[in-house]
This record gives sequence, C-alpha cells and structure tokens, in this order.
Amino acid sequence: MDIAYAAEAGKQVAQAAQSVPIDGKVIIRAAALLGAGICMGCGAIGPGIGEGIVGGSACEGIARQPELQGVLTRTMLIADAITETTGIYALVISLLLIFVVS
Amino acid sequence: MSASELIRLVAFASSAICMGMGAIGSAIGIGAIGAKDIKGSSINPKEEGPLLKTMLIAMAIASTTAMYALLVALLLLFVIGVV
Amino acid sequence: MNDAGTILTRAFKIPGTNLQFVYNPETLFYTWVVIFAILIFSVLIARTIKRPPSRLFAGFELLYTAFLEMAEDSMGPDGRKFTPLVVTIFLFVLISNWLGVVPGLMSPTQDLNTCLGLGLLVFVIAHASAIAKKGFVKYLKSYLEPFFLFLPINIIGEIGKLVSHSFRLFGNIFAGAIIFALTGPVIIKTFDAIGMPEYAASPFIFGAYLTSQAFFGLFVGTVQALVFALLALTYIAILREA
Repeated sequence: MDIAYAAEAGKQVAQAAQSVPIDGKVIIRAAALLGAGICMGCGAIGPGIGEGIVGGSACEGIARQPELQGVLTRTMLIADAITETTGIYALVISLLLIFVVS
Repeated sequence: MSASELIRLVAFASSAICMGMGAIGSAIGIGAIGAKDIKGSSINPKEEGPLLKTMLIAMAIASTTAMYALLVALLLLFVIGVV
Repeated sequence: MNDAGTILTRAFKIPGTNLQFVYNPETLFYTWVVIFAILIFSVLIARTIKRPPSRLFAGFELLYTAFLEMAEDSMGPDGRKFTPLVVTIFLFVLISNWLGVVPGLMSPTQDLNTCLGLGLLVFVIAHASAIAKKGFVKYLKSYLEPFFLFLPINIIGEIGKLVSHSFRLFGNIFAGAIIFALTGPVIIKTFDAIGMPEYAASPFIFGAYLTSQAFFGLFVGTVQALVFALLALTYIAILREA
C-alpha cells in the first residue's frame, strides 16, 4: 500500500474534479465510501465482543487450573484466529468499496 | 457543490461513523477480559503473574478489529479526504 | 497535515519493458538499521560467553529461556529447533517498533510491506514445516479436520490468520506514527484558534509527546512484538501437531 503514491493520485483527482457538477457516477462513489465506513464500523463490533468473551474465559480457566496454562493459551489463540475471520470479511468488503468503485 | 466536495464530505462522515462504531465492540470485549482476569485473581491469588501475561496477550488480540476500523478511518481521512 | 501518513516511495522503470520496480528507500534504510542493531547486540553478548556473564547476557538468557519454555509447552521437544527463529522475529519487531518512538526516525513496521513480509515468512515456514513433518497427504487431510464440510472454513481461516497477523502489527504501529505526526500541528492550530502565541505551545507539545509516544509507543510496541512472536510460535505449533 504505497500511501504517498495513493495520496498523490488522490490530490490529482481532487484537483481535476474541481468544478465537475454532481452526476450519477459521483453519487455512486460517495455512496460506496459511506457504505465502506458503515460496513467496517458494524463489522468490528461482533468480533470485539466475541474475542473478549474468549479471552475472559481463558483467564478464568487458567486461574482455576494453572497447570493447563500452555493448553489453554493455545486454545485461546486458535479460537481467536477463527473469531477474527468475520472481521476480516468486513475489512475486505470495505477495502473493495473504497478502492474498486470508481 | 462540486463533485470533489461531495466526495470529501462523504469521506469525512464515513470515517467518523466507521471509527465510532468500531470502538464499541473492542471496548466491551476488553472490559470483559479485564473483569474475568480480576475474578480469576481473586479465585487463585498465587497465579497473578501468568494471569497478567495472559490478560495482556488476550487484550492485544481483542483490540485487533478496532485496529481494522482505525485503518479504514485513516484511509478515508488521509487518502480520499485529502486532509 | 497532508502527508502525515505518507511513506516515501520511488519507482524505477526497467528499461526496455513497461514494468516498474517500486521500492520504499526509507523503509529499506531503517530495516538495515534494525539489522545492524541486532548484529551489534549479538556480538556484544557472544563476547562475554567465557567470562562471568554480564547483565546483558543474563537478560538475554532470561528472554531466550522464556521463549524456549513456551515453545516446548506448545510443540514438545521440537521446540528447540524453532526458538531461534521466534526470538529473532521478536527482537526484530521489538527494535523496529521502538525506533518509531524517537522523533525523526521511522519504524520499518510502519510500512505495510514489512509487516506483510514478516507474516508471509511465518506463513510459509509453518506450512512448509508441517508438510515436511507430516507428509503431503496427511497435511491435506488436516483441512477436513473436525468434519469434511469444514473445508472452506479451514481454508479461509488460514488466509485470515495471515491477514490478521500482519494487519494487527501494522495497524498498531502505523496509528502510533500518525498520532505522533499529528500532535504538533493539532496543538499549534488550537493555539492559533484561541489566539495564544505559538511559542507557548512547546511545553504542551512536549507533554503530549511524552504521554502519547514515550508511554504508549513503547508499551504498545513491546506488547505487539510479544503477541506477534507468540502467535508465530502458535501457528507453527498448530500446523505441526498430528
């Protein structure tokens, strides 16, 4: 992700479209950007709460039986990796909406 | 209002909505982890060290989705909105 | 404030074709700084191996033993083979996170390319060592693990692990760098808006820098380096288990 590159391209597009009136394509792009924000915002709620419940139960389990620390930490990390996937779906969709809708 | 102004307006509004909503889930999750850690410490006070270590790791992972929302918000703010 | 999040990028056109070779010179330079720091650190430690151990050596031994215990907990006796890799990854990420705290320097992990590179490294090592240990057929059968309909979930889970591993590190350090780049201009603009002179802003900028970077930057950098190394170890261990 070359941010300098993208920022330069963004500035040029913004300057070129200085006095272009609003028509259909611009509204579609604006709606896609708004959708990207709402998508990632709503999509980040679920995995956050879920990973909180997983981590909390792991802590409590380690407190009850400290010998199982290695097993419980590994199980917590496996569960976190799978809980993360819906968050990544939301990230992919919002990145697609930002960069692909022209 | 021209095209670029509309796009900047929507980019800023969208960035605000994104980060605002993205912080909800992480905050609840990290709070739940902290609460269970305190409860575990009270059940077994000898295990405070390993429990602290596990709590920090779990908190770092639970804040990942808020990090994604921050990434999208920063992208919308600096690359599209050209602040 | 326009270029708060920019990373210097250069493109070099390969003559005779239409292709471009794009590289980030600042990131490369600071990656070499981190590599030299680790080399000097290792040489300093290796030299005291015969005399009574210095504090640096004892500290490094503490770190290595902690990772060795975690590796042997996860992987059994194979843990000894992977501990040098995990400790190197930990030291690399730790030092590059700490470089960004110093004003004027840039951390290599601020660039998405470094983080994706490290994530890909761990991904390839985990899968290759799993294939080497279990054989190709058993490795493929592990994707059908609990129930054969889990195949798409397992495949997307693997890609999700790679993405979340890299993006977690990138997001934390990049956000820290943006906050650092923005505290100065924001405070100065506030002082302009309320009419106070700009030179009175310097203690506030210094205080904001101390709290946000030297506290959060160092702490978050350490925690994220630890989580990155621990997850690398866990991903290798999960794939290798029978």
